Amino acid sequence: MAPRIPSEITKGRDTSTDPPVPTARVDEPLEGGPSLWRGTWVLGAATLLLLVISLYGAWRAPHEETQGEAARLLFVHVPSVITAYLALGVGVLGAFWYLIRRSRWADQVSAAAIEIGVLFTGLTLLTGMIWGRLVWSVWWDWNDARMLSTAVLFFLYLGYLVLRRSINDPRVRAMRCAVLGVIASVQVPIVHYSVLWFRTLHQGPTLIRPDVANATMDDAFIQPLGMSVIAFVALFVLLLTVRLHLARTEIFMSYLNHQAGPVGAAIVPPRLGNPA
Amino acid sequence: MRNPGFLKQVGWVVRKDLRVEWRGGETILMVTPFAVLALMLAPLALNADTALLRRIGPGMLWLVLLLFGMTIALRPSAMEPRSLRDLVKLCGLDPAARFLGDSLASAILLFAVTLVLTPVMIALYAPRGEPEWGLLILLGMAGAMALGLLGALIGSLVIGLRTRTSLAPLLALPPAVPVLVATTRGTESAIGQRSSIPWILLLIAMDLALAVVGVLLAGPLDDTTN
Amino acid sequence: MSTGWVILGYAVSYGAIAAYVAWMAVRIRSTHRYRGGSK
Repeated sequence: MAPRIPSEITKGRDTSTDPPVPTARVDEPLEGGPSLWRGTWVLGAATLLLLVISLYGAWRAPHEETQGEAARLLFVHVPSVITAYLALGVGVLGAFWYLIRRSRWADQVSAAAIEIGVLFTGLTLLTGMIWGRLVWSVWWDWNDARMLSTAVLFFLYLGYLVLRRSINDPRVRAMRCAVLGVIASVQVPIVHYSVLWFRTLHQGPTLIRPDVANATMDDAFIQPLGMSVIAFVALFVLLLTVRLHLARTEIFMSYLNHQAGPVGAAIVPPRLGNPA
Repeated sequence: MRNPGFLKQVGWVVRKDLRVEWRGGETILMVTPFAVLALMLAPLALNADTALLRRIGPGMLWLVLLLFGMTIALRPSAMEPRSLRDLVKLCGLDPAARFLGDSLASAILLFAVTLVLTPVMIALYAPRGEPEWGLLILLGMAGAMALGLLGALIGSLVIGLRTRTSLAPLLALPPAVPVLVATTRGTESAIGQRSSIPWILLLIAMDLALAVVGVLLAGPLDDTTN
Repeated sequence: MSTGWVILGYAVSYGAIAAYVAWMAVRIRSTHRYRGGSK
């Protein structure tokens, strides 16, 4: 069923000669326009609560000897990494699902998840760099395989977002972005190993330095860290829900634009036999 | 005409691409001097002394090959105008064969540029050591194939887009990072009498992965390309 | 000194997330005008 054109647009115009409403298409919107899932508000409140609790836990966490105050950054860095990988994983699964089933829903979930994933990957890099500056006195360590892999991951999926913006046709966009998602996912283990061997192959044992792992193994840290991870995962679900609602709304809007005609809603193209 | 086999179709595409290159001369005549110039500019920029140059030689070679190789693999002639694409489609050419043919042709061109650039690098940077040439050639072929496959894959993603020329390198470079790491570290290992086998295996793994992905997805991609 | 950097890290992270949420909210709100009322 096609949505009705709002009366403000059709007011005062003879609609009897309007072109017929297009029938079912792959990208036709949901009935009457999408509405936000009522549970989103509950989810939002719960997420906010969890975040506040985790922030309190981070503030009250004991002082760490080797890293000092920088260890508190881990309460953002580690959850960011986990959320980023979770989001990108969902995005990649969506890409595979789209290629198997050509489901528009899979494409939307994939795009939304990857957008959130890129955001959190960027935050991971940022917090990681600040942490490195405080603990190792360098903004970037070329011996750190994890940060290198994460940086390449960031650019891999940033490309996905850029490609997404470059294509207008929804079907072409869905297919090409899904393919890029698959290519990126296939590259992830290869990038991981190449970066890992980049320094460690034929290399002696590396210096013992304060590491992320040292702080996270401490008991007093596990609890607030776990809280932060749970809070960030809830945040991911919330962001995904809202982003999907936005995506569905924009599909609906694009369909309205199509209905209004190629030159916009305010102007009706001339038609033979109807001197208007 | 009998039903042509898959490999035969791949051969047709490779011959077509190489013939276009031979007649148009975009790669050898234009990109190679550009790459040689880049190799000459690096020491000027780095104010490098001989000792530093010796160490960065192989790395510079592959960095230049990666950056300029991307322009070869993503060259516009590989993504022909719509009329030609439609004609090829209507002739019934297997899209997977077209993909593999494009990749192979790009890889051959890239390997040719590598062969031209390597003596230039040796002359300008004078790296020390006795390299195992067999392994180096294998490394070069695997790396060229990886870049060719990547170029053909990314090229098929940007057909018909207005921002194609700037978007394609942005999409192609992050997946090409392992190629850069593997070829440079592999070259260093080959020169330094260490084993470069792990790097060759990594590149071959990447080649296989990209080839499988490309062949499987060439059909669906072709269907949605207008 | 390091506390300042830590606070900056937190501020940028949570700020970016809040900005993302705000951007989505603005985009969703702007579509309501053309849909004959909010849903």
